[in-house]
Amino acid sequence: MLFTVVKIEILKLRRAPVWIAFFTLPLLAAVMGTFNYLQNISILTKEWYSLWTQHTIFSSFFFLPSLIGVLCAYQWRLEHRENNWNSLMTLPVSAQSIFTGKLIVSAGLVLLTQTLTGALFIACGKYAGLPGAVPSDLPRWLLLGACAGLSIASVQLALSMIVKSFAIPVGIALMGGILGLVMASSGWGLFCPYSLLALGMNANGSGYLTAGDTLPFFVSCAVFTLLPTLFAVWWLKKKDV
Amino acid sequence: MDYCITTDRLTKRYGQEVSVNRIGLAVPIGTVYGFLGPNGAGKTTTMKMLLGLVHPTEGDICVLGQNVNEKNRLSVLRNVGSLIDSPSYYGHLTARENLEIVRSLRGLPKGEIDAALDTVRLTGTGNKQASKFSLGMKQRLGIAAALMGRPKLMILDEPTNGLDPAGIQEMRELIKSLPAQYGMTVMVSSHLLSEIGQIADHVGIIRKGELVFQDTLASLHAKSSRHLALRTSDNERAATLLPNSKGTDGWLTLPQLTDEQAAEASLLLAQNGIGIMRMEQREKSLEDIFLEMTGTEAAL
Amino acid sequence: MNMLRLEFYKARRKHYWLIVAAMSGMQALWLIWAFRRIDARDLVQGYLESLYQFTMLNSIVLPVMTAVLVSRLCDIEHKGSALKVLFTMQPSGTLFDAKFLCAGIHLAAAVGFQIAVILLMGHVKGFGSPTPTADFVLYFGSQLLCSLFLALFLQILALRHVNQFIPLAAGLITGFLGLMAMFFPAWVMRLVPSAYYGLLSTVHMDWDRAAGIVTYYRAPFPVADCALLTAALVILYWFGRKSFVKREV
Repeated sequence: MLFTVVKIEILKLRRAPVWIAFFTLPLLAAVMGTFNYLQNISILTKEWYSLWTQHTIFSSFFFLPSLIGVLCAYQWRLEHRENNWNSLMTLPVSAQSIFTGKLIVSAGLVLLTQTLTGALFIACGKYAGLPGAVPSDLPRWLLLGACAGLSIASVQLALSMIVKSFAIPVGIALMGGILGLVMASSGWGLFCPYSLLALGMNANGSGYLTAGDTLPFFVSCAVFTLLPTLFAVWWLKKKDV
Repeated sequence: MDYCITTDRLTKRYGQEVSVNRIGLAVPIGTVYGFLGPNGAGKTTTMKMLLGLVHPTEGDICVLGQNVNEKNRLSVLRNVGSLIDSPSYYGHLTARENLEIVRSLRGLPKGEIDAALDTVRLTGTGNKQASKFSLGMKQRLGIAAALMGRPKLMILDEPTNGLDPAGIQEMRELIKSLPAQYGMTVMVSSHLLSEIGQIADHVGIIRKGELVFQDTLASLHAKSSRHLALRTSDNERAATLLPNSKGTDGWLTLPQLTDEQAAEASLLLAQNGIGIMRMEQREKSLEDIFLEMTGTEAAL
Repeated sequence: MNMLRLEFYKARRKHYWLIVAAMSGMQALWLIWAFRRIDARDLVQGYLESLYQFTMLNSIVLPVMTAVLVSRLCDIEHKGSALKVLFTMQPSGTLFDAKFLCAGIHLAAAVGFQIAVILLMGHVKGFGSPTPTADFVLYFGSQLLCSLFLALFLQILALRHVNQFIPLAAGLITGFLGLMAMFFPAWVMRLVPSAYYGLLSTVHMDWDRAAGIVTYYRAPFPVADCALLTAALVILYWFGRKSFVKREV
C-alpha cells in the first residue's frame, strides 16, 4: 500500500515546477561557490574543504530548508484545494500511509539534491584543478545531510498540513534556518532540526560533528523525523474534514 | 423594442479554436433573458466578453445604450452586477465584510449591505467567515454582491448552482421579480432548462459558439410539434385502422389532428370494438427542443 | 487611497503584520546574539557593525519575507476568484498599485523596525559613537528601495500565476543569488536585484586576517547604483502594470 501511495504522490507532482527548483539551487550554489572560491583562493586555503564550504554554507542553513519548506507546502496545497481533503480522507489509505508517502517523496527529492550537490562538487573541484583526492568524507556528509533533510521535511510537512497557507511555512523554514545557525554556533545544534543539515554536511568546513557526535546526530534526526510524523498521523485521525 | 445588450459579430478565438463565433445577442430591456447551451458552448466566454473580462477577437458590444470600449467600460459596469462561474468571495471575511468591499468600490451607501443580505437571506450569519459557508450560502453571497446598488443589468452565470430545491425556488422567484420590482434586465445562463422555462421571457441558445436560436420563450415552445397519443384495448388492430399511427411503449402516436378528425378516429375505433383507454395531446418539452437544437451528442 | 484602504481591509485575519514582525524579530534576535560578547572596540563601532550585520541578514531574510508577504497579498485574489469581480468595479491598474503600496508599507515598517532595534541596542549596550542619523537615513532608503524592487518583481509573478510556488521559489533563489553575489565583483552584484542590499550599503568591513581585527568603515553612497536600481524599478513597474491591465480573467 505504501509503495502505491508513494507512486501516487510522485504522480501528483507531475508537471509541477518543484523539480526545477531542486535542481537549480545546487547548480547555482556550485557555480557561484566555485567562482567565489577561485576569487578568494589566497584566503581559502583548505582546497577541497574550502570549496565544500563555499558550496554549502548558505544553502544548508537558509535556502535548502526553505526550499524543502516550499516543496512540503506544495504537496499539501494540492490537498487543500478543490475539496481534495474529502477525496483523500475517504480513500482506503491509512493516515500513516498518507503522511509517510509524502515524506518519502520529499526525502527522495532531498536525496536527489544531495546526489547532485556531490556530483557538482566533484566536477567543480576538478574544474578548479584542486590537487589530491576528493575528501573521503564526502559520502558521509551527503548521507548525513540527507538524513537531516528528512527531519526538516517531516517538520515542514506537519506544519503545511495544518497551516493552509502556502507561504507561511516557507517563512517559518527560513526563521528556522536563522535559529539553526544560532544554535549550531552555540553548540546546541543537535537540538534544532534546522541546524542538522549544516551539521551533517560539515558546512563550515572545520567539523561541526566529531566522530563521537555521529550517533547523537542520528538520534536527533530520528527524533525530529518521528515526532512530527506521530503528531501528524494523530492529527489526521482526529481532524474533521 | 429597446435592447439592454446587443452584440454584433462577437467572436472569440483562442489560437485556432473558435470559442464564440460571430454572435448577435439582443437582450430586450426589462426582461429575463435565458442564455442556454451545453457545457463548453461558449456561454461563460460570451458573458465574460460582455463584462470586459475577456477581450473579443472581433465584434462590437453595446450595453445600456453605450458601445463598450476600454475607456468607458468601468462607467458602463457601474450599472451592471455579475456572478460569473463560481461565486467570488474572500474566505477569511464575513458576509458583511465581503459586501463592504463591493459597497466601497461602487461608492454605495452603507444601508445597501443590509438590503442585499436581506434579499438573499444571509442576514443572520454574523461573524461566520465565508470559507465556512455551505455551497448554497456562498452562491447567495455572490448574488448579494451582484445585487448591491440595484444595477440596471444583472449577468448571472448559473446562479442556482449548489442551491437546494427550496433555494432554487427562491432564486427563481427573485430573478423573476427583478424586472417588475426594480426595472432590471437579467441575463441568466443555466443548464436547468426547466428553470429557464419558468423564469425567462426571452431565450438565446448557443451551440459550439454559435447562436442557433434567439426569440421569445413562446416562440421556442411553438417550435415543438404537437401530437396525439392513444392507449387502446387492442393497439395492434387499432394501428391497422389508423394508418398514420406509430406504436411506441404501449402507446399509439398520431400526428396533430383537428377536433373533428380526432372524433372520427375515436368513432372508427369504437365501431370496430376497440376501446380507447387514454387519449392525450402531447408536445415536446423544452429539453427535447433544446437537445434537438444543440445536438444529442453535445448533451453528453 | 480607497484602494489602499481596501487592501488593508482585505487583510483582516491574514496576519501580514505577524509575518513581518516574526521575521524581523528573528533578525533582531540574531543581532542580540551577535552582540552577546562585545568588547570596547566593538562598542565604538557598534552602530556600524549593526548596520553591516543587518545588511547581510537582509539579503537572506528580506527576499523571503517579501516573497511570503507578496504571495499572501496576491493569493487571496486567486483563492477567492476575486479578480473577475474586482475588474468590473475598479480599474485593474489601481489594484496593482494598491497591492504594491500595501507591500511597501509593510516592508518600510520592517526596515524601520531594524533601525529601532539598532537604536535600542545602542542605548542598552552603550555604543560609543554618536547616533549616525545620516547612515540610518541612507540605510532605510537603500534597503527599502531594494525590497520594493523585489516586491514588484515577485508581485508580477504572484498575480500572474495561481500557483504560488513560483513567486516563493523565485524569492528564495533571488535571495540566494543576492547573498552569493555579495562576494563577487561589483559588476556581478549589479545584475542581481537582491545584491543591492549590499551594493547600496555605506558600511563596509575590513578583515585583517593576520591581526584578527575586523574594522567597519563608511564608504560614499553609491549614487549611480541607486539611480540604476531606481530606473529599473520604474521600468519594471511600467511593464508589469501594463501587462496586468491587459490580462484577461
